[in-house]
Amino acid sequence: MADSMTVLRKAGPPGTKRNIAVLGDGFTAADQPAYNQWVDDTLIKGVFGHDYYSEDASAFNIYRVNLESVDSGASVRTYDEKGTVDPSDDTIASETIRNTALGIIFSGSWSHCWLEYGVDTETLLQAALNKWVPDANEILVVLNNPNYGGCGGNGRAHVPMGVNWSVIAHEFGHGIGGFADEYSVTGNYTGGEQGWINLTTITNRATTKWRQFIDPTTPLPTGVGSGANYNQGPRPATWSSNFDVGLFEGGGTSNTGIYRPVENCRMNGNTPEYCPVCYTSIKTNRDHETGHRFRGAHAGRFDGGVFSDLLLHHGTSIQLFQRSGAGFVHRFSGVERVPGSWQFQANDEIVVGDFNGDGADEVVIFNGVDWAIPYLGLLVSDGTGGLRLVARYDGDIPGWGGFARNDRFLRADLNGDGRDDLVVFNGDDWSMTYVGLLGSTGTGFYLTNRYDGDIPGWGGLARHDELFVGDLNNDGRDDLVIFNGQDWSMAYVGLFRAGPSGLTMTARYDGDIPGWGGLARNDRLILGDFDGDGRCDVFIFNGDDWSMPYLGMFRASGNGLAYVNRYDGDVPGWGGMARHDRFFAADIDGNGRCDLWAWNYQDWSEEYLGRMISSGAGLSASFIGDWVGEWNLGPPDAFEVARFTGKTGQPHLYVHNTDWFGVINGRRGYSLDRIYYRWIRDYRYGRNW
Amino acid sequence: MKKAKRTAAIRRDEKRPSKMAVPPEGADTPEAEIPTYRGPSKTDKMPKPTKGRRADQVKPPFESAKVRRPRKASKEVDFGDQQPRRIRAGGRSSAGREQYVRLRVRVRNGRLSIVDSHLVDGPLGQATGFPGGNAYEVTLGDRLLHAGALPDLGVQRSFPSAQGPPEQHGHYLTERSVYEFMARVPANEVTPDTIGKIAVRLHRVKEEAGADRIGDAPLGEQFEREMRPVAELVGLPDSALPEAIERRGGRTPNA
Repeated sequence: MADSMTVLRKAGPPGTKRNIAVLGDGFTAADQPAYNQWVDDTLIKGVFGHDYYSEDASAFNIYRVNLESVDSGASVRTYDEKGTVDPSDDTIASETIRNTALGIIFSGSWSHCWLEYGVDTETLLQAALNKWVPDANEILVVLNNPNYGGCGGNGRAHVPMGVNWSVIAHEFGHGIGGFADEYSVTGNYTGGEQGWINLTTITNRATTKWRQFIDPTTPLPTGVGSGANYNQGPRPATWSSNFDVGLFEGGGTSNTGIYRPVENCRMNGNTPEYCPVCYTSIKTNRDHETGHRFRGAHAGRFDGGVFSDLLLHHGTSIQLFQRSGAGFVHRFSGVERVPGSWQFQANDEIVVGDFNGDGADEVVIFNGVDWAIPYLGLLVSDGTGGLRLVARYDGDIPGWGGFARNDRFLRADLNGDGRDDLVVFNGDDWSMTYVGLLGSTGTGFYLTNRYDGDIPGWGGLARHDELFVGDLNNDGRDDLVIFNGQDWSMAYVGLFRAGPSGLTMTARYDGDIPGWGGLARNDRLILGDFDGDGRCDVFIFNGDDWSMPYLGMFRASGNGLAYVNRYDGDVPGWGGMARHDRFFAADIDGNGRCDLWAWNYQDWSEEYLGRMISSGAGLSASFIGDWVGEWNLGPPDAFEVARFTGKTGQPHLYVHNTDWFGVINGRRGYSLDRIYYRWIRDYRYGRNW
Repeated sequence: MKKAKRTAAIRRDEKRPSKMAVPPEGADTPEAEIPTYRGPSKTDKMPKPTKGRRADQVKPPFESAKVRRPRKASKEVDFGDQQPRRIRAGGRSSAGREQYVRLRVRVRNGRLSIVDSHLVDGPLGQATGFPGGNAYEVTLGDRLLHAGALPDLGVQRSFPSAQGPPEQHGHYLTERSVYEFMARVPANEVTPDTIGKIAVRLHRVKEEAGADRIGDAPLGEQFEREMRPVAELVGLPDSALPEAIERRGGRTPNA
């Protein structure tokens, strides 16, 4: 076996990421599996499997260099320390020098940094880096030695194999985060205020360094005395030693005279997470390397609970946040790919649904743009809060005749088996328009029906057919509604029942649905069970084709649509419908009837968000303008219907744009339950902006 | 115009038609005047495929009898890499591609020297924060070319010994007299004309410095309060020219 390099995490071009190079010393060819296992256990599953490093995994490239040593085991040197920690008078008591790739010598002596370089180590290390790693910001050298110890500094950490991941995470706190130690060893600090992020001498509430994270009711200082914990008044029962911030005496190895932010941070006890002060600093400084944005947000019950979790697709990485406790908790990051090999790209299209009927949502992902051929994949839970690929269709699924760039996928339980299936539509890439029905087995899909150019009775599938799904007859199967206002001499609506043999047209409306006053080119259909009878009904909005905007409500009767109501120019309480009104269907008030969120950012002097609550036969509206709590509504905002709290319905909107993510609560009016800037973190007190 | 919480005065566009009024409940619904457009009307039959639009692109027939339901995989499968799009030959010339130079800078007694240089393929991002004790910058005149944080420069830190005597429960810190750091600069900025004028500057960071966006002024101007220059080198060796680095094989291809 020759020397080699493996990219363990390929987050992006090295100049845009933080690059960690891992090299081993004292590992023969036969030892390489042990070295690889240590790197996997300690760095990948350990450091990058926990809290900050897991959350921001997309900021890091990780290169593992396998260097083959002639001898097994690192060289060893023993010092006679003369009973003192001062190394200047130490002498070498014994040594065993081995022929290793980097020539590092392990001493096990604290005052000798546990190890030292041999005469050629720097040259050998530079040569290995230049040969194998395009760029390295942090170098981790692993010695084939079972002991504890380690020497860090200057962007490097050297460790024997007896070191666990939390020690390395602490060490990265120095090398990557620029943090000071928060533990106490000896003495009183007598210097002035220093540049450390996480240590201060300032005890004035108005000017102390991390004042934005300190609750006004927290006494300052909070802990007084040598390496003190909370001792200035009764410690609140809910106080978190890791996450509640105050001023605790002792830090930077000094017992007194200087203060740390929390009782126990990773920079103190290794095992706890970084405290809010350290976390916010490293997040801020590394954020530009993560590529994280809130643009690609998707709500789903990924953990099978009753609340909506959050999937963030960032282009070449994803993050999964579980709705938990006070807000969201990070559970998973997939960088570049997930196990099973789905490689994330900017033009991935995501469909969330329960494709295996287990009560939790899975992810169907399609990309017809970024690769040499289109791909369709199914990502399911990996059992530990993450996602893995269980099925991938490269270029085609048997029977569909080839995926193409403009294939569009909709989620629908077509056979009522509790597993969501897929409807695929393509009106652009072929000589005729195709619709396919893909049945789900829970671990993959298969084509059950294909409609080439027509579904019998529809009179021809056409390029601008718009497809919608919903259970129109309450038989447990999702049916299909098609609207086309572009391709024919008039606009058409078709209803198609899903059954064992495929789709059967139950009704076609040529130019009008009675009561609507004429289907028109820019009609927009929104499906939802607005009367709560178990049948999915249809709203139609048109803001373009008439002298005023219209909104109609049509009840699904089982085999057709029946007029229920029509609003000409306004829904009472909305203050006037306008051309660019947009609607999202959701049971906002949780009474089993589907309501509408209304959104308009184009037609008025400010942006408006409204609720249109269904009585079953009509709508009553209200609105809020410009701001919802601290959320400044704006053109870039996108919305996902969700349930953040409560027992029924989907009363929330996850609102998001590039930098901001919020939770709007519409259950009883309009309020903002959560707001996050740049990243999701529920601070105990304060926030990162 | 602003919405008001009152009965809306409906905004009408008189150039467009209105829908007919909804008849009273129980009355017959008269036939609506249906908007019509250019184009064919639907029939009950499928129209012929349009000739102009990808007329030859027809899917092969679907034979439902040949479709097999996927079996549940008995073990986790790795489907391997997806197939990347081919880049047209000559589409991205080596001259036009983004690269940066990685400079290995040695600090000895407060003086900087370039020990080695390397070429790296790809774009170079700019850090926005400078945590820790030091930062570097590379400038050309008054223009910042690149800057980066050096959180624990020049420090050697032995790990604490929890099992050792009390004095070993922290780090044993040693300030090194000679140490090195990497500075980075976009390759297209390093030319025979500029190489003598490019400066590398090492700063001590007095307190955490950062901004949403780093401008193109030197760090000393952008962070006048937070940073102090401690060492400077003006002029890079010719060996740091990208062409020279490429000639001596000083570029590690990206994996």
